[in-house]
Order: sequence, then C-alpha cells, then structure tokens
Amino acid sequence: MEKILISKVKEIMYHEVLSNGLEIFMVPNEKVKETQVSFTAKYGSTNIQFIPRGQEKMKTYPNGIAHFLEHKMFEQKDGTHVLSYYSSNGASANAYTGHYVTSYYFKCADKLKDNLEMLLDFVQDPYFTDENVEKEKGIISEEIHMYEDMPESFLEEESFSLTFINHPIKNKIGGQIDDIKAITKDDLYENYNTFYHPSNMFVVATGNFDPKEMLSIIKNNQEGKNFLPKTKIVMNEINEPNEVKCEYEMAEKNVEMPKVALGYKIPIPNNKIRLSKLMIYSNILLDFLFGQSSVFNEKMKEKGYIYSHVGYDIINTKQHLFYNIIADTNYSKELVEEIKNSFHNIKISEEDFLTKKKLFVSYQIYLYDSFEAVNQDIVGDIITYGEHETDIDKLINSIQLEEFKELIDSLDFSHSSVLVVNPLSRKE
Amino acid sequence: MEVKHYNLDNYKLHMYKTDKFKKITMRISFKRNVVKEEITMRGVISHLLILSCQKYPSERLLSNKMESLYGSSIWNSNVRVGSNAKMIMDLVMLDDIYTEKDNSIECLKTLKEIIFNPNIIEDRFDSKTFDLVKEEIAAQLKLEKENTDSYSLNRLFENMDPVLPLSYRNGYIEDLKEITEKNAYTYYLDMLKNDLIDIYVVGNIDFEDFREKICNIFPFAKRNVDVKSVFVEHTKFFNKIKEIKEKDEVSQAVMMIGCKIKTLTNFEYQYVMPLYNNILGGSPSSKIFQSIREKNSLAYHASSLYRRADNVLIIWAGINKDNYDQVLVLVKEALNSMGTNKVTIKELNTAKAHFIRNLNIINDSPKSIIANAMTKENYDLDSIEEQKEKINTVTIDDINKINAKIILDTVYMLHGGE
Repeated sequence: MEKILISKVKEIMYHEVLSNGLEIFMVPNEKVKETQVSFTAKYGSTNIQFIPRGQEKMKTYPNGIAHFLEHKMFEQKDGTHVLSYYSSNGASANAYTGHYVTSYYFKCADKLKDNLEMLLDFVQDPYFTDENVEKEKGIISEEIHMYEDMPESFLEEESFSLTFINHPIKNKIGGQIDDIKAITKDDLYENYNTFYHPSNMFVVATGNFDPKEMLSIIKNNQEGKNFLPKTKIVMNEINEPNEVKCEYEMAEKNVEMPKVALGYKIPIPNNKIRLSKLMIYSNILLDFLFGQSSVFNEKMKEKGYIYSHVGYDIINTKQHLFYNIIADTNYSKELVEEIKNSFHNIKISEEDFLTKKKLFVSYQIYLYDSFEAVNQDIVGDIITYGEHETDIDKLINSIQLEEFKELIDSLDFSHSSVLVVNPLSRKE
Repeated sequence: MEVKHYNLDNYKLHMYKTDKFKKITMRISFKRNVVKEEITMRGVISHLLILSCQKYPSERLLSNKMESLYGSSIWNSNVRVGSNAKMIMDLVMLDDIYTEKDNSIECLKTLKEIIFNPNIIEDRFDSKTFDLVKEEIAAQLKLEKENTDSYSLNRLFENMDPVLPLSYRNGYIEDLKEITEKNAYTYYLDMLKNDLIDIYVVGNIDFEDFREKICNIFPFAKRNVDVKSVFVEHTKFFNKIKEIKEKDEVSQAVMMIGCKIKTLTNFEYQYVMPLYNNILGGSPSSKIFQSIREKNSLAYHASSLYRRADNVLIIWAGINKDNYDQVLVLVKEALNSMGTNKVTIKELNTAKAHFIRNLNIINDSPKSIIANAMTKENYDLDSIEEQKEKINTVTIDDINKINAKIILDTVYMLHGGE
C-alpha cells in the first residue's frame, strides 16, 4: 500500500491497485466520526457510442442510459431497495451521474464493514428485468420534468447543446423522455458489462477508518468474486470542430427575469501545461475578470446590467475548454458585449495574481476540513486528470504569472455561443 | 471538544475548542420577535452591511480585503425560526498557523468594521450602495418564484394560516418602496442596540484569549431584552381539508400537503415527532417514499418534513398533475397507518438509528456544531447523552398517540395543465 504525504495540509493518502485492476484511494481522518466511501465508474452520459464488450460493431445507445443504469443499480434481486438497507443501518447513501462519471457512495458512523460490503456487492451485482426497467421510467420521467422547471439547469444544458456539434456532452445527462422510453434491459447489461469492470472503477474512502482494515475488507470482497478479464474499451472517436453549432439563440421559459449564458469554446492549446494546471489558471482568470472583487462586477452593477455578480463554469472535454458565463439581466446584449470586451487585452498585475494565488492556496486548505469534499475532489480529479495532486506545495510554487500570461495569450476566444432566456411572452 | 459559555450583559458567547478543523468559524446572530413589516427591512440591512463599510466603501474594496486575508469570507442570511427573526453573520477564516501571524485578528477587525461602521453619511446609509442593494433584493424576491418547491411551500403556508408567522415570506417587494436610507439607518441602530445577540465560535482557540479579543473588538452595548418563545401555536383546526390548485407554466406539478400540529410536550417534540417524521417520509425506507415513488412510480421526489418551531408537518412530492388524486389517497393512507398500529418495530428502530447517527455526527463540522448550539438556544433540549438514552424509550404506542395531534389541513398543488 503506497503512503503519500499531502503537503501543505499534512494529511496522508493511501493508494493501492488490486489484482483485478480496482484502484483504491484512502485519506483517513480520525478526528471525525463518520466515514464516506464512494465506488465510481469512469463512465457517464457522454459514453453512448462504443463497441460493447464481447461484440465487434460500434453501437449507439439512447441518451440518458448511464443515469438510468445508476438508478437501476439500487434494486436488488429480491426486490428490496439498497437505500432501505442503508437506512436500517443508520447510514445514508446516494449516487450521481455526470458527463464522465457515475459514483455510488455511503456515509456511516458505524457498521462500516457491512455498509462497505453492501456498496461493493450491489454495484457489482446488476439485476435488470423488463418489468423493473419499465417501472423506473415513470420515476426518471418525473426527475426529467423536475429539472425542466429549474432555469439554471436549462441554461447549462442548452448552452452545451448550442456549442457542441458532435460531442455527446451536448446531450442532457438524464436524456429526454423519448430516450428513456427506448432503453431496454439488454442495453443496460451491455453498458454495465463494458464499463463496470473493476479496472475501469475506483474506490475513495475518507473520514474515520483504519486504512489497513479498509483495504483488507475490499480485497477480501473482491477476491471472493469472479471477474471477466480486463479488456480495452473502444469508444467512438469524437471529432469536434472548433466552431460552435449556433452563435445565438433566444428562448422563452417560465422565468421571472431574463437570463443570458455566454459560452466560449476554446481549443485546448498545444503547450506543455498539464490539464489540471490549465484548469487552475482558468479559474484564476475568470475569478479575476468576473468575480466579486472584479472591476467588471463593480462597473456592471453601476450600469444596472446585473444585480448580483455573474456566475461561471469551466468544463473540459479533452479537446476543448468550455467557459460558460451566466447572469440574470435585463440587458443581455449590453452585458454580452461587456463580457466579450473583458477577454480582449487581459491585464493582471503581479499583486492581483498573487492575491488569486493566495486564494487558491486557501481553498486547498479549506477543502481538507470536510471529508465529504475531499472524497468528491478525489473522484473529480481521477475522472478528469487520472490523478489526485498530493504535492500541493510543489503545485503552488509552479503557479507563475509568466506562465499564466503565456497561456492566456495562447487561448482562442473566437468561438462563442450566446443563449438568451426570456420570460414567456404571454406572461408579460 | 471543550465547550465554554459566557453569559455577558451585552451578548452570550458560546465557544467550542477543537483541533479538528483548519479554520475558525464565527457566527453572530441578531434575534428578535418576528414582525412581518420588518422582514424586508432586516434583509436590506444585512445586505448593506456586508457589501461595504466606512473603511472599505465598495463591494470591490471589501472583497479585495477578504481575499487578501487568505480567502476569509463573511456571509449573511435572514431567517425566520417560528416566531423569531434572526439576522446571521458568519465569518470563516483559516487558522493563523496556515496563514500568517494575526491574520485572524485582522479578520475579526474587518467584521467589526462591517457591523459597527457601515457606509453612512451623516444619519443615513450611502445612497449609491443603498440603491444597489434595493435592486438586488428586489431581483432576489422576484426570482423566488423560479424555485417551484419553495414557492409552493410559501403558498401552502399562506393558505394554512395567512395571519401566523408561518405564512411570512423572505421579504416583500411592495415593502421595499417604503425603505429609505434614513429609516434603514434608524432601524439598524435599533437592531444593534436591542436585538438579542449570540456569538458562536468553533476552532482551535484559547478560550480566554479569544474571549478577550471579542470583548475588545466588538463593542456591543449592554441590553436587557426578552424574546418570546420560538413556537408558533395553532388555534384554528378544521374538519374539512382545504384544496388549492394553482396553474403556472411548469413541467412537473408540485404537491404540498400541510398538517397542523397541536401543542406538543417537550418529550414529544424532542423525540416522538422526529421519529414520526422519519418513519412517515424522512428517508428512502419511509412510508411516503416507498409508497409514492418505489411501489407506484409516481414521483422522483417524495418526502415529509417536520418544522418544529412552526408546529407543522409537510409532505411533498413532484408529480404528474393527473396523479393528484392517487397521490393524495396514498398520503392519507400513510398518515392513517401512523395512528393505527401499522408502524413496525423495524421502522421504529431504523428511525432511532437515524436519530442517534445525527447526534453522533454533530461535531463533524463547524456548521453543525453551531446549528446544534442555536437549536439548544431555541428549545429546551436535553444533553446529547441524555437524548441518546431517551430516544430508545419511545414506543410504537407513542407514535400512534401523537398521530391524533397531527391534523391534515391544506393540500396545495402548483401545476402546468388545464
């Protein structure tokens, strides 16, 4: 078992890879009462076109299948629901599906062995029937409707759809109602068998536990099972052009105030900067340009274009970075112009850069105050970068103004999409 | 964890010393009896205070200052808890061992500036900031309707009893017009002088050292105020259930079912009701979740919520509007089963396990430590150890009996159909 010091915060991470390929990351914290364990597949809503295990031809599945699969994993052969098991044990459990990830997790203050074995067992024991698949369609349909009524969810999903042409990130994570209706149990098994092999999965444990004991439970559990050999997952190659699908769209929704989302599709530059650092620099950039302490925020409020500082999101598709800047505003045209102007001639002083760097350092420390946040952070890092940074001191020292400036100069901001969402005209 | 409470003439100080966290969390709570006409005013004031102050007279300058203090942050919120109104200011800062010497003192001093030296000119708030804040609050109040769950909950409460504090919203756009720079300043001074103040601190602190810092930095005046009981008591109970359906452009209907609760004993509100709520709709193994979602696929979300101070129990689900009648039948069946010996030992023990787990994890975050401390200020609660013992004394018979105090009052649905 590898033991790694996480510098700056002086925590320890343990790492091991089992013979079946399952990777395990553990960051114990004896000062808290609870333990959180997540069991994650490197598989999400964008994995809809691939060669299913044991087959030869590329196949396309309905959108939303990863999310549907996640739902179905909780039902067991005897009809009971896994969540009821955790409830009875005084634990809580849940799961989520993202563009590239499906993660199942529980939190408990005791009965760790039982809860951990249940996690490993239920995720590795799928049970899909025509009947139970049909039953889930009603529940997921209501979940889709729930998100339809959330303006922020619509803004985000529609922005992806306007920006990306070929990449499946353009599709909703949960799919549409018609997609859900088309899913069969065979589809679910094919997806499961391809992506839920231990070599494509990992476990993250944080909170209060003994790493040796945790590893022993997982090892014994896995050694008691038979797995098919590891095979290479063959995904459809995505060729996503730099152009956006649609530069401007106006939509009407049941909102009280108009909203705007400006999305930049930026080809990932061919330089030697690691992806994780690229994301750090991106966050520094957008916080500098649009955060609460920015000149932009102050000016836009004075002009009356915004009432609260704009929000932003940074997504990486491995070919592109997607900067999505979102605001409630009655002045979408003016605000979009101001945002676009902000990306021309970016000037950041050394003092400002050092403040942002200080902020980054602080956030790393704050993160380790929450075992739940650490768990989620590790999951996100493994999915996005394939690793979790432990030498925080080294990372901090490597964040340099000159490199930041070079990177900003190399980013291509010429492709963007604008989505304006107005209140329904008949309401006005 | 070591705990110390100081009951001073000007505020109560609650300190929790622990080396679990790398940060120090401090909360200042301003409390008084809730008055509907003051809600919007308090919202405006709390916003005004955290956006700027005399020393940092703009949002940008104040944010810059907080960033320079290693990303320390100050948050505000205004909440109604039963019959009490609370304005809360939270300061979160890294322990000095991760920053530099006296970084925490500088954070405290900045918070002091925000509270005691707001951006005023003569006897009124600075107009520029004031106008911006009013715009922001107006927008926030308008945007509340976009959250269909909380909007529906407000509408449910307004229909259950339009007079009691239960029905009060987070603010009223029509009240904003009446708020001026001058009367806001007058109210602010009154709040500073007459609200009941509680200060909570969680971190690796020295009690005496930190107490002295707070005493020296925060010049709260002495006060002798009384705040009435937090509980909202219902006096009107009806035999006939009110059913209200309202239409809006929504994809999913939101159904909210409100029950009024008759006055509970201390044992009942501390122990019996939380278990009742858990069994009814407080977890995935609960009656509501199993019946509406798992067995009948009628919802993605279905649960219940017990609001202790308001003496209400709410059941809510996101559904297809065409299934309203079926869902209502299932809810009534679930409620009925709580009072007719259909609660099993397994359900009761599961609920108890949850209750105990929640007690065990209180000290796992500063937020929950402070929340628990504030709850103790509101209600006459037993110690954590006493609670762990007494919860095991609750019987199925207690659950059955309390059902008679829970009166189904109103059903509200927001839907998008004809």
